[in-house]
Amino acid sequence: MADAPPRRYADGEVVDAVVVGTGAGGAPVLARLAAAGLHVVALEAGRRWDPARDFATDEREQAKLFWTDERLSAGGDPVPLGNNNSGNGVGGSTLHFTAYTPRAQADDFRLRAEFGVGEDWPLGYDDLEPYYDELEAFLGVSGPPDYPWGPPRRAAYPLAPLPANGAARLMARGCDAFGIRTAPAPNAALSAPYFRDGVGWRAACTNRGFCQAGCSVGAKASTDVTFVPLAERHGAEVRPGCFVTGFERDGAGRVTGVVYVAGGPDGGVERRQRCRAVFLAAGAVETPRLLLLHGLANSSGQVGRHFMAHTGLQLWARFAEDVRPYKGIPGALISEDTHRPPDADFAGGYLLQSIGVMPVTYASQLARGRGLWGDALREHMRGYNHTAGINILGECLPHAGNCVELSAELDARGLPKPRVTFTNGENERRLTAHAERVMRAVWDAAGARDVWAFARNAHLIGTCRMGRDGAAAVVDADGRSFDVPNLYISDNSTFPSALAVNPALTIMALALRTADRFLERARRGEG
Amino acid sequence: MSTTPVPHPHDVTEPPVYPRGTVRALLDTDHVTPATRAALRARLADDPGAAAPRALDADAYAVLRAACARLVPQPDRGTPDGDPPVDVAAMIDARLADGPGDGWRYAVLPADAEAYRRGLAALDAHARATFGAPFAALDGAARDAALGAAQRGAVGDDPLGVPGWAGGPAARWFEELLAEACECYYSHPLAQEEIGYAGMADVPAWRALGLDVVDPREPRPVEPRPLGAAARG
Repeated sequence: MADAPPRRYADGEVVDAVVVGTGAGGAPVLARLAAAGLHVVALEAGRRWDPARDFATDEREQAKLFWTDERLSAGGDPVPLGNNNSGNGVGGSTLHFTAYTPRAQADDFRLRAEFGVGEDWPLGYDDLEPYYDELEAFLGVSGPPDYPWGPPRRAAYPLAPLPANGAARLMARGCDAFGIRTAPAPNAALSAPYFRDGVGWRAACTNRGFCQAGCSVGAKASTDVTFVPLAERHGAEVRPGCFVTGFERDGAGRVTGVVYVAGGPDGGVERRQRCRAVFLAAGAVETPRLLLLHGLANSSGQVGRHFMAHTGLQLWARFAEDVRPYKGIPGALISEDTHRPPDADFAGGYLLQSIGVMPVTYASQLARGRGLWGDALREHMRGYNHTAGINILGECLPHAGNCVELSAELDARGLPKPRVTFTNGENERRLTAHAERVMRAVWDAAGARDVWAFARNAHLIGTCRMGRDGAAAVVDADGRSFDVPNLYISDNSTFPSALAVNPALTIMALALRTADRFLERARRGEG
Repeated sequence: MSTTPVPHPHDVTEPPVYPRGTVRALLDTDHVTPATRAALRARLADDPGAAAPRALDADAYAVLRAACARLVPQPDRGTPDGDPPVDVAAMIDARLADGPGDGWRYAVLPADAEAYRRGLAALDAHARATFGAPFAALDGAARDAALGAAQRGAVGDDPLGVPGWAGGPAARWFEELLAEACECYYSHPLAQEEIGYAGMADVPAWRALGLDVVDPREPRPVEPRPLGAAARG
């Protein structure tokens, strides 16, 4: 394909689609539609970063990658937002995702059928499998030659695993003692240089351990170095610094344009981009917030409801060995032996992963989770280089009371700040207790001392669930709104259940499927 | 891979002590990228206590300084031949003045600057009511007792008109204060030298990724300690 300058569309021009957000949900849609020859514009609230120039290996400096518009966190277990979740910039939260890319397993999509609780998806593993295959090859996922869990794979991971760091070796040692199988984790970070058409060469991971605060070498497959350049090669326009505030609609209720503020909250200019369809990919807080602001696509009453956040208990420990937790891919080792534990007293399951950690993040968690201060704090932190962690990522059921709402407080733009309410239910508490027993046994066997648990929930999921019935869901299996036929949602807000895996790969798979279904409909001449 | 637990070569009792100057020396090398060097140099150059507070008034700032001195005590710094203390309170005040925030807050708390004003006032009022003196005038043990009360959520409904702080909000405010103090302190190159962190020196790729192995540019403990086997460079 010949290099061409990215297209620039005028606001008055009617483009085929506007995509709101350029993270894991938006960028794949943008690239897919552009590759099909459609005229597409992405509106991205954040700026465009130059990782080599702009990204420091410094946690405080990199706070700029996080969504800093204030959100209120409420409920019995208020979820930390900010650096725990949404991203700020072209690439969205893939700028700071850990690159962990396990596939969901087939039974993840059938929780209600299996356990009688939670929710089933209106699609299954077979629908996503071709997209998982495609994504792993396109992103350059590093992983083991024989992944032990899930359905048989049609292709091996394209790259060898990333090297095992200290935490991975310690977790493997502890798991071996109990017969818990482990494997190098699939990570969307390159263990060798990698070439893809439309993207070019990307460099190999340098083991700098900084995935959660921005990859400065382009080894991590954040969308800013994968789907966004691919989309631009195909003529898509990415417009950074554009915060979407509303929609224009015709008499039939179809979206005819997207209203946005360009240039930031102070001194920004309101503009409109006319379009034939819109894809919301702003994440499980901003997507429902935008719909709630305008009372849009909510005849089901489900917008903002059933917010979920994975159970993410971390078990930190001190070891005699020199670990240096700042080196290597943070999540280097995985076990899915706990996907459906035989002795479970809860629905669903969880995966185990080893975790490295940067010092500011560790200290902050120590403060919040253990309340250490004074001499005890400095003494504990002097053992940082001997610290390793294990983390779970576990099922979270959709509870009606957990939600995203508009608060009475206004932000700098004069829009209501979102309030996120979350409380773990009985199932989450039982799952977490089970996981803590397993992880303590693993760490004891590995020779751990001073083990402490940090309870947390992570990933923002749900709030615009997909389903078969427009009375009970916001979008159908194609991501298409039941109420507004040319409005689509492509992000983790559409997940009807949380899945016991990290969401990024599945968000991207759903995004590609949503784009393909949209294109099929367009080819059939349906609006 | 072993199938049985591996016994400790040593007992884990003493955390290691690392030499001074390690991060500062690395900043002059090509192991650090220009963006990383700029961020860390700017933090090192900040002059502790040089500027008046901008977000907090003088009274609140005095309470904040006195609290930070107990949350992250630095008796080893500020001596004539030593390093200056990391000015945690100044970093917090600067963040409150310049923003942005961290993207969220507990719904039970007001906006960050207001939460700090109310929390610090409540802490001071608690000190006056309990110890008969302003918080900043208390000795270390009394300040620790007051901070401990805040951590337990026991500071509140005080005589100076800062109602509604008993219970959850006071404990949540203390958690926010402590987390921010920790984040400020451990983002500082001097604190990173203290704990032997060298993650900022990430060029070229790290090669020593196993246990008890380090790359040549990583700091090793000053003296042999009973924690960990000898690091190989």
